[in-house]
Amino acid sequence: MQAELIRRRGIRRRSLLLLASSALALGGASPSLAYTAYVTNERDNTVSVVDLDKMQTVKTISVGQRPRGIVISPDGKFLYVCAGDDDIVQIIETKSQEVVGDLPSGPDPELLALSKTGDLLYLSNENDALVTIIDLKERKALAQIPVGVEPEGMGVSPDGKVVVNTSETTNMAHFIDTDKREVVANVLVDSRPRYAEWKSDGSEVWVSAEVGGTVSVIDPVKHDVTSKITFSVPGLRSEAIQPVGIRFTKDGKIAFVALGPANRVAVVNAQTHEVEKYLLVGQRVWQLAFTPDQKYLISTNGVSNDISVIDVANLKVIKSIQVGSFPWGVAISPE
Amino acid sequence: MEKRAEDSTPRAAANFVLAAGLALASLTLPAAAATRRDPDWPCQQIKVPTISAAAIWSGPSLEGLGSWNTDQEVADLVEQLAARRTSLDEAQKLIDKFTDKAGAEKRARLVLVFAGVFEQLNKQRDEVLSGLARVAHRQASSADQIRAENHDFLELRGKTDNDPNKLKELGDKLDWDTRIFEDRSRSITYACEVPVLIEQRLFAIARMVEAKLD
Repeated sequence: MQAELIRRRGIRRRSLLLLASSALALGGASPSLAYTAYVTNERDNTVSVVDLDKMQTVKTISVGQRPRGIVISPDGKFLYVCAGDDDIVQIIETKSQEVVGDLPSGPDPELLALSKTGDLLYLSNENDALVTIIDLKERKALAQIPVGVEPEGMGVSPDGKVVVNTSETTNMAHFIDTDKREVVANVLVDSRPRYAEWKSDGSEVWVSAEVGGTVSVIDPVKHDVTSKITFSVPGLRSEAIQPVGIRFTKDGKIAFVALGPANRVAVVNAQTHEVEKYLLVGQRVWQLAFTPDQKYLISTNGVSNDISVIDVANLKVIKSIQVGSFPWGVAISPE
Repeated sequence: MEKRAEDSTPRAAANFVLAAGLALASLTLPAAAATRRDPDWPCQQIKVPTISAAAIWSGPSLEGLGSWNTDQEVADLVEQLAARRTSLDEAQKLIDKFTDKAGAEKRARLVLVFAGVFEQLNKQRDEVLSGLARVAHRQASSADQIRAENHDFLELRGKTDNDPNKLKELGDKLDWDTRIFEDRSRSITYACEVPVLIEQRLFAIARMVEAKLD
């Protein structure tokens, strides 16, 4: 393991040197930093480690059963992975790339989100209609908040004061006050809401509805749906369009929405709410994550067992990288 | 041997429990099937009757292209790409080679290649779907048969003057039929993956061909 790490670091250093020298040759264009993507593979109970410099899977870590939600700590040292069928959240140390412990998540954890300070974890317990808050330092559950049936999506507001949780069966977005640790508002959205994402200025929360085929734009102060985004791909049945993962660029201008079995990521003008483009990625595209520099957006494609790398500036899919079986979630290292 | 014969009744009784479970499953599943399930579809996966080209292809439309069979090089490539024995690595090489030599009509010919592979793999997939439908019906009638055998076994066992040889015979038959039923169920689980494997292959080839269009 140690030898492998040293070897990998050696390769990384060499490739950085190579990049630096080619950047010089190109007249000082800045070299891209090497990021690592960690992808949960729902079917084969693993996490794929993908080197985004080499654009290939470099290691596979065995984890608990049915890994789905995954987040990385702000310092990049730890990954937290929901192992739903084992009823735990596992902690993976990124340096050793090994599972080093677990957290008492409550039953069937599916998706999770970190607090802005990085010390709390909010997670949805799909079978128990609960959101559990975990103190990462103490590794213990602080509170459990009852929400709608089959909770899933978790979105933390930029100021950290509100967490939005979606419930698949109740079809609601629940606004949870993080200080009071209780639901303060419920907003009805379309069928089977999967994911909640805040704009970086906190002005809007977008909630995707997998069966409804829409994204609801919610005013987080008035708790109203202000508009609904619909999608249409010529030649494709509307049932095949199932919005799931959402990501905004930092400037709040573009949103990317993963459309499940439509195999496409929609590029949406986040100001006008108009769909501008559809990018064909892989089969059953599920979750999305940016590299920290937002040069690339990564999509997990469940059926084609790969991830797609989207060039954000040019809105083009530039690469597919094979990972494990049924890739679901993705987290990217901060450096 | 005698020892085994003695064991046959408890074994059959255990099988009864199992068969009762199966029978129950076959009773409840079709009930649910009336609203949700397709009797031709024994798989857990969502049934996708045909793959739509739009789901896997964002290149030019495949409508009104004419036949891909008339261009011999296209037809040969389609045949090789559609064959599952051709690995995806080989497929990539074949597409690279074809593209290099495709000439001025490169783009149009590549679209024809994809149209051909799309047609052929959808055909393969249709055959697998029909096969799965046949197996689904056969399993449904096996479940009925096991349920009837189970009833007979239970009835005989309930009689105080039952013939132990006959009871053993019924128990063994139930045992055997249950085993076949379970073996088939396992094969169905594998067979259910085949349509997905074909979709994966079709998508992978679509991606390779589309990348060559620019």
